[in-house]
Amino acid sequence: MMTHQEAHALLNDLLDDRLTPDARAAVAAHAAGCSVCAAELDGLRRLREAAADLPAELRPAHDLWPGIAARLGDPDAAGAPRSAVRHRRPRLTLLAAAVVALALLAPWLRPDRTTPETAALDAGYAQVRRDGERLLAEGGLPPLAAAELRDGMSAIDGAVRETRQALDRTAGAPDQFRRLTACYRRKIDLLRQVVDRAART
Amino acid sequence: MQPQPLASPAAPPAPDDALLVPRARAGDRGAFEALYRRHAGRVHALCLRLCGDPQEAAGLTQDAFVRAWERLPGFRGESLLLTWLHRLTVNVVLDHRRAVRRRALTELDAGMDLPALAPAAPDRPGARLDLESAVGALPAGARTVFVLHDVEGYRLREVADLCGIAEGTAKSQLHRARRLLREVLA
Repeated sequence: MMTHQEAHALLNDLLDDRLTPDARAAVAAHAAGCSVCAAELDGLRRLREAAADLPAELRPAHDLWPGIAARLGDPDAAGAPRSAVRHRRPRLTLLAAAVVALALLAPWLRPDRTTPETAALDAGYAQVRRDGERLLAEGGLPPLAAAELRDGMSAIDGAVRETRQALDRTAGAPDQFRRLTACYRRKIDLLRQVVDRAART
Repeated sequence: MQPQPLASPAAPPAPDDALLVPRARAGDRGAFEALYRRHAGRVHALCLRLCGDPQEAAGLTQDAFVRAWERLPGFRGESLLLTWLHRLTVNVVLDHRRAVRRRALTELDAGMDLPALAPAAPDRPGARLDLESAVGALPAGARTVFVLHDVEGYRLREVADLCGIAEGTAKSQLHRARRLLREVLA
């Protein structure tokens, strides 16, 4: 017998036909006798139908072709090109530059290095992250503020990960190390601002 | 400004993709313009729903057709042109979003102020919005997955592949988008 919580958590999967036959039967049986789950399922179904019924075409407010033609190199076309476009030109120059850059960077590509300074930054970052998670777990935020906080945390997580990896690779280069630790610190400050902003809503 | 009609009702039937694609692949800009006229509405709708901003959507629609022109010689006709164009457009929008995010973080590194990390969203409990506006106000990740899955009909696995995320992440973003939409539209 499936509990209400278990069944409720699977309503989206029931709607999207992503359950095994046994689970499908169990969730459907629960929803048939549970007004909360029945209403939720009905709401989800109506939302999905409304989404599928949105118009397939939304034409731009003005004709975009002149701008496209200009970017394709048509001398008669009106509109300012965003950038020059070349038709199928091989990008060997870029490839060669990438190979050279990789060769130059190779000495720095060494795995995981931790210093007292990076350890302190890691600890500071973990603390702010915990504050954000706690704010989300408490469940008091308006839905879209919570979503914004999650997105902000996710974006900064990615940026911190990149900075941390760069730090691991450049531990032997003092100038780069200083620049990256400053960058890491600013990202922690930014995360603190995002968390504090959410806390104020 | 009024939307552009793609063809007048009295105009003769336009040639279809099967006739236009080989000509466009051979470098015929007139044929490519005809393809643009046929599919601009679909491509623009996708761009607008994925990015949520009309001006940005117009630029992305242009980017998508420019990239289509560049890539058309590689189109082998194994899928419908519209399917191919659709996928190419999603990639254009996601590439653009990654570039914007990188730029925002670079500016941040240079000491700029806090960037907007999510589109401005209506935060009034019980606010009634039409679905199109509510989708536009979703956080970017949830919006992308919802538009691709529930509006455009991609399978979850395809959405995950297109976005470069795990299928489980796509699923949780989809559920989150539906939950937010139901709360905002209630």
